[in-house]
Amino acid sequence: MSETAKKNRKLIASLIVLFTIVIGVVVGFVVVKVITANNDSASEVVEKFRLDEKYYNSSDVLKEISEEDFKAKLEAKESFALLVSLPRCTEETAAFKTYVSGYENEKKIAILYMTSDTVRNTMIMDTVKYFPSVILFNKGEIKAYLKFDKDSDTEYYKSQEAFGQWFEKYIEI
Amino acid sequence: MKENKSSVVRTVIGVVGVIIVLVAGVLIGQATKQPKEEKLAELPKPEISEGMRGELGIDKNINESTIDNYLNRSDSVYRDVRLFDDPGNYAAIGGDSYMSGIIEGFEVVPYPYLAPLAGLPEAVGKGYTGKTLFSTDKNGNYVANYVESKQILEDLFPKDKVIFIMCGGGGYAGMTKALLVSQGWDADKIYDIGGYWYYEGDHKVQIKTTIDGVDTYAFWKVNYHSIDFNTLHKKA
Repeated sequence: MSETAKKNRKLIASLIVLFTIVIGVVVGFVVVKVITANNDSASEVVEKFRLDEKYYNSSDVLKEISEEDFKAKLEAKESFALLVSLPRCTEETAAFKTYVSGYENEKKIAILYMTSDTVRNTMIMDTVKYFPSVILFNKGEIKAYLKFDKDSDTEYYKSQEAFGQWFEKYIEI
Repeated sequence: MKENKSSVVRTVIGVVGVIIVLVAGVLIGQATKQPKEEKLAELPKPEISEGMRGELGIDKNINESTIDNYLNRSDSVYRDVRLFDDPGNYAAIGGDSYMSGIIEGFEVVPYPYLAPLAGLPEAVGKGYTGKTLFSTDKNGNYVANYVESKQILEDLFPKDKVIFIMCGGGGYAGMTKALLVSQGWDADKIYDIGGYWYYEGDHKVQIKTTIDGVDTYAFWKVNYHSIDFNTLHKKA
């Protein structure tokens, strides 16, 4: 075999090896992405918890609490649900409050209420960026909250039934 | 000797003269200098946020968190579409009916004067139910109520400018954009930047204040575009 032919063979072999490596990296990347995406969207293993007993069989509807009341509940490590709303917006966001109060009436579960101005100086702002949101506290710590800026939570803002589905993912009724 | 003295004097006068001419030239040049052409950064195309913020039409890239980077542009106008005093009983749902603050550079054009509000919760009541520049027909299309309706929109929201719109939470701003686009505005030149409540930038103009223990709203600080419906001509 001539030198040129040998060189060409080596070159082709090198290109094949390089091509294989590149394809392997790309495929591996895609596989990892798919696996992690599946893990993210796989059904969340959610450990339900119970609110403090005083919030069950309650006739209260969106009872408003002050910043001091809120801080006291955190100190007492209470388990409770809290709606924080940013009103003076469109009917969709203002209507959400009626879905939450409707759910409360239906299930006789008290969900507390604070305005967005009242929570501005609380620990809620470290976690929750946009309102309205319902925030679930388990023993004084945020366990879950509705995300106003996430596609995954949009449906839960749209009806009382949908809100109830989200709520009951986390709370024992 | 005399001749030397004269030549020295002449030289000095000549040098002084040259210096005067040079200084004058520099001063004239400064005075007549053309201003540098403003180099405006390119704006990202409007892109809707995720989730319910996206449902309101709030932009993903230019919003309450980033608007400070886009203020004072000569190619843009800035509009806050809230009412000073919203007749809706927003206190019933925890809100403030009055505009408490605004971003510097934004001018107020209340959306409720542009087109009807629909479907506010019972607790809020009907909100503003007065005259509007546009109505909606049974198919949801905007229809001009006055001969001047479209012209007013064009004057307040110039088509040749980039338009940044905000309100309290982003909703009215989204409705305003929808109205403008339906009337022929370029959607790619309009940004719903969201709600004043979320603004934490460096250009707050505080309107709600306390003077001598009394809550006061300093609306006199705000550039407000009033629409006097009594001077407009109803369309046949």
